[in-house]
Amino acid sequence: MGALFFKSAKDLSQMLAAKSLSSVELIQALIRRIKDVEPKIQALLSFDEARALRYAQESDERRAAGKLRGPLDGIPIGIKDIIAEEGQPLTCGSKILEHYISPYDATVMERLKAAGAIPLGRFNLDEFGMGSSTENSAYQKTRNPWNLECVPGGSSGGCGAAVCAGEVPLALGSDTGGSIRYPAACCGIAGLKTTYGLVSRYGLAALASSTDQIGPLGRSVVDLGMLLQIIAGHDERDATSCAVPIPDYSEAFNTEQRSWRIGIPKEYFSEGIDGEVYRSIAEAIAFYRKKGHIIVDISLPHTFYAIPVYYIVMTAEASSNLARYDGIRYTHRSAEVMNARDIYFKSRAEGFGSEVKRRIILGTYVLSSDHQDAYYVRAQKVRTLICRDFSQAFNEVDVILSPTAPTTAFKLGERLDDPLQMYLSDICTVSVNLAGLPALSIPCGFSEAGLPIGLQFIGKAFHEQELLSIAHIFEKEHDFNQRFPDID
Amino acid sequence: MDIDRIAALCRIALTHEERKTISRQLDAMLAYMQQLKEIDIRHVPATLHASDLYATLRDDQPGKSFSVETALSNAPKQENHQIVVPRIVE
Repeated sequence: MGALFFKSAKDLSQMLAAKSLSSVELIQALIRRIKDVEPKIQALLSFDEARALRYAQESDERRAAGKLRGPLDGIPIGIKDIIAEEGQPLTCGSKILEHYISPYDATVMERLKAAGAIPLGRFNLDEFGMGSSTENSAYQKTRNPWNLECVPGGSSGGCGAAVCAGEVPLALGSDTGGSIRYPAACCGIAGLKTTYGLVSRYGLAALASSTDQIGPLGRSVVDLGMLLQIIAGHDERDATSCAVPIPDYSEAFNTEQRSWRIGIPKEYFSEGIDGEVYRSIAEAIAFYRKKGHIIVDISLPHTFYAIPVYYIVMTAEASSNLARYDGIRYTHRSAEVMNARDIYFKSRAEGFGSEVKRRIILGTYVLSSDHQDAYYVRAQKVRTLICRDFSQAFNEVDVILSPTAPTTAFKLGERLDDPLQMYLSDICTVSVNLAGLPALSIPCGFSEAGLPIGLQFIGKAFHEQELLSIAHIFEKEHDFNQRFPDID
Repeated sequence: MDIDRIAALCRIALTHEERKTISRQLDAMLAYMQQLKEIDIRHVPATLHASDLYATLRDDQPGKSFSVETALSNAPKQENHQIVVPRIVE
């Protein structure tokens, strides 16, 4: 398929370099594509077309003047509507921020602009990132481009669906418990959750501060590497940002391949995993074995406790972080306010959706003095055991391979009434966030119903380059990322 | 779960219907979380954060900041460069 809107960022960058395409032409083509498919996909929350075209014009002028800022100069990037961008809305998918306009840029936005990349549209998400289907957005329900009756995954479902549907070649999402990898798997694209501390969280609206990370979604791991190169690096405005050396990620795709030790954690292949998902992952394992890599059976024994630990830690942190939405300073304020107390109670009651209320209440409960030891403190200790499982595994292997999710994308509405069932969608992804490790999802097959299946690689902290390299071995010999949905 | 007490702590007004639904759902989740009691955690330290934390305090230095207009640009109600709220002390 030769359509411009399905090309990778790398191909588009080469076309811009060869002057067979201008950035303005590219943005215009994507605007047309967005107008064609958005009525069905519903991924986009807001889009400042005039500004995108102005940035594109400036990029073309830089190119003509020989003053390019790098390989992504002139390339559009979709933004999850939870990352602050100066002068643009920042709804976080919530009514409580319906009229909020960000007065500043997140660090990642400053870096994108400094690299000449063009922010193109702000994409849908579960409210404040709370969800696995993007159905918890207060604004609209985004559809999976492979099947409009299915969810795109979440919470970065708008970004996932947009990349999949050809609205934008690359996007920036955030991953607190799987929110980049899960939509990437559901939409058949690539997504990278970075090591905690690699990418600045300054300007990312906080959900769970001890696990939130920004990362790229795109059509290939090569594209992920290009975007990661721009956003990775120390930032003194984020106290958890680490001052580690940033490698040249493009070397991940050039270097001579060594033989990797790939760990297969048995807990990720237990009951609950769909037969078709199992077969695709087994084929991927067979592929790596055939290529001469060493497959090692490993165990991550505390995997089954990751969901309860995560939903205690995340709701506790979220209940604290979301206290800032008080109806006083910059959020929705209820029109029914009669006294000072009402401002909090009514503004929050009107502004937050049901999942957010549920999680704030659960988080408040597990942090309350009577229950803190039984839930929050206990969960943090079990979190230590989950981290130790990974440390021990990485004594034996370079990387861990698993499904990204036990099933393909589910139908809209299917899990909405049963929050616990929805939380179980995250079974393969949350442990990684609790341990702060990097992990990546790429498409590795399709179900008979035509839905994509995601393959996950988990790496050692700050070893993103290895993850990209290992995933690239698979990607370059398969065409799963060259298949595109037919949205008629 | 004493839902009214918790909702008061986190400053959210709930309808009667919400109280019923959320109570039911959270009771199920708390029951699910009981499985953590199976694990012996007596000699295990807590993990508060996903990375090795170190002191990241820097010197206080004056820097660029927002103008008052910018800082108040999203305030729901304002007057004379101040946020307006209902009277707190009668």
